[in-house]
Amino acid sequence: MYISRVKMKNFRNISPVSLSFQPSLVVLQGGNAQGKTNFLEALYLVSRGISPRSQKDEELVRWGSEAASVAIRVESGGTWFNREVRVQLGKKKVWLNNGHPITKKRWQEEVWLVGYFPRDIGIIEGSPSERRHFVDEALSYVKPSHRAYVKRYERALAQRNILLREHARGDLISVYTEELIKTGTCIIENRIRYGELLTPYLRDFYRCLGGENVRFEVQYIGGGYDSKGDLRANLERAFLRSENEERSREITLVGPHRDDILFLLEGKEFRIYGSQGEKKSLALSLKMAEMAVIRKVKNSKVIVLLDDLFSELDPKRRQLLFKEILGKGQVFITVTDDIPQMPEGWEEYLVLGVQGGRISTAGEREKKNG
Amino acid sequence: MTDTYPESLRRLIASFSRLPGIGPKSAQRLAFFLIKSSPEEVEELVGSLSEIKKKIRLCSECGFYADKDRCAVCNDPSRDRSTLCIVERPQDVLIIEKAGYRGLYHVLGGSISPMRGVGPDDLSIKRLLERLNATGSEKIREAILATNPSLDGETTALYIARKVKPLGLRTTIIARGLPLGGDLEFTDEGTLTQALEGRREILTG
Repeated sequence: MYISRVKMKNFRNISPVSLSFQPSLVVLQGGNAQGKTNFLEALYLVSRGISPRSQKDEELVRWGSEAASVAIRVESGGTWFNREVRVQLGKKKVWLNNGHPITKKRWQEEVWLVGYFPRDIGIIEGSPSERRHFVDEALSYVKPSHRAYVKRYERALAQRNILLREHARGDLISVYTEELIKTGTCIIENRIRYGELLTPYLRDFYRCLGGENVRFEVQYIGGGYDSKGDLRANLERAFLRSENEERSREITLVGPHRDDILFLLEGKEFRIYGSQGEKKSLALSLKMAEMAVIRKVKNSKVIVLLDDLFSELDPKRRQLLFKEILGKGQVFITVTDDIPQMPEGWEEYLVLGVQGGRISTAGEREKKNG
Repeated sequence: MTDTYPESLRRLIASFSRLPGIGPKSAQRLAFFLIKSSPEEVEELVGSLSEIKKKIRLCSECGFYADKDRCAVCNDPSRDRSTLCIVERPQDVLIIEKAGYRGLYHVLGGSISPMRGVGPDDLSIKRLLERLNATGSEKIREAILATNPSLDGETTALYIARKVKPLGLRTTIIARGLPLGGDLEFTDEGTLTQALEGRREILTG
């Protein structure tokens, strides 16, 4: 699976552009704030249905324009399909599959793509909600029913919290408790199972990037309940135990909306004790593990976006990373200065110059400069 | 643009555009249509409109639309009076009717949703329990919950089921599952899970 064509119109600062790609490596080269990240964001959005920066739609549309669009052609298994997103000011986004409107829920074909952006370090050092968000998004991508569970859970949670604030009757609150236990159990089971799938890859990638013989662990921490053993019974017990506290604090204190995932290096938590470099390596390893899970579960090649990564990886780690991703799917990277040294056999790649939102193949750019 | 229209026309357009599903353009089309219609046609519409408020009320028994004290379903002697189908809104009655149901109904008047400020006391739940509690020849033996399969519909159903269970009558909920003429491949996993949970013995005749 790879993106063979891209067409963008009025997406952020990107000038209207139409490009063709081979299933190999694409390097976007340009100074800071020229549009490299915006280009990767557009690919991420049209492929996965969400922006990796999770901002408002208005910000996706070029200033002064009414609408933006990103269209890609995806080659997959000897055939192809077109996917397009149109963002219109003040309206909902429209998704098109081969020109026909579709809903995100009912995409006929998935575009398998993962992206690493510098802000992903927030998954490691940010609040538990960022880690839950990462797991729920990655999980919903390969198992769409998870998203439905999360939405349903969030609504039931909001309803229950209102009842707690209003000091409602116990017989009404308990109906929502039952719902939270039922849907919550499915969410937690999904997350734990996904974690079991992800962790071996995560460990391997982290050892590859951060150190070979480190002791690396991942722990799933239940929010106010024990996440080991019979989840349903544990949740029931925890709700019973915190009944009085929930009533006095007027908020739901038990359940997957308060879970956390701990990453431990030599027994110590990354979030607190990890260096910037270690956190960055871990965030990258998470995205690479997400890729590995998709490859395994969906038996497909995965498109990889790596934003502003190579300036900070030393040559040895760069080589290790390249070894893992090159030749296993299409890769888009951004660089500010020189193009990093490629491993042997990978001298062929496409270079795109990015300047003030204009994207040009390197040859054309040189013509202009010279 | 509509500023140039006479005031009465503007008022009519504004009234139409307050109706559900009617935007400003459709409202104008309706208004122009009425201007061109004969006086009799307009009179008939005016008559029906003013009768809605005067004559249509909710059945004192089940809460469905009626023009007398009791609705046509409750007054129908051929109905099976031992089963009661519980629905959220009056229009749901018509949908269940199409499925060939021949019992009685109870309309709740919505679903419980603290977000929207709707609690159990805002719905016709007390009246429902009175009906289910009634004894005599018209005793209800089965309560069928036919609320929406949304979160609010299902929590409402659970709330009611917990109140009904102690009364000792059969309490059921309509099955969740695959649509007829649907395709397994295009069914979402959540629906499939529920359909599997609600599977039943196949009848071979």
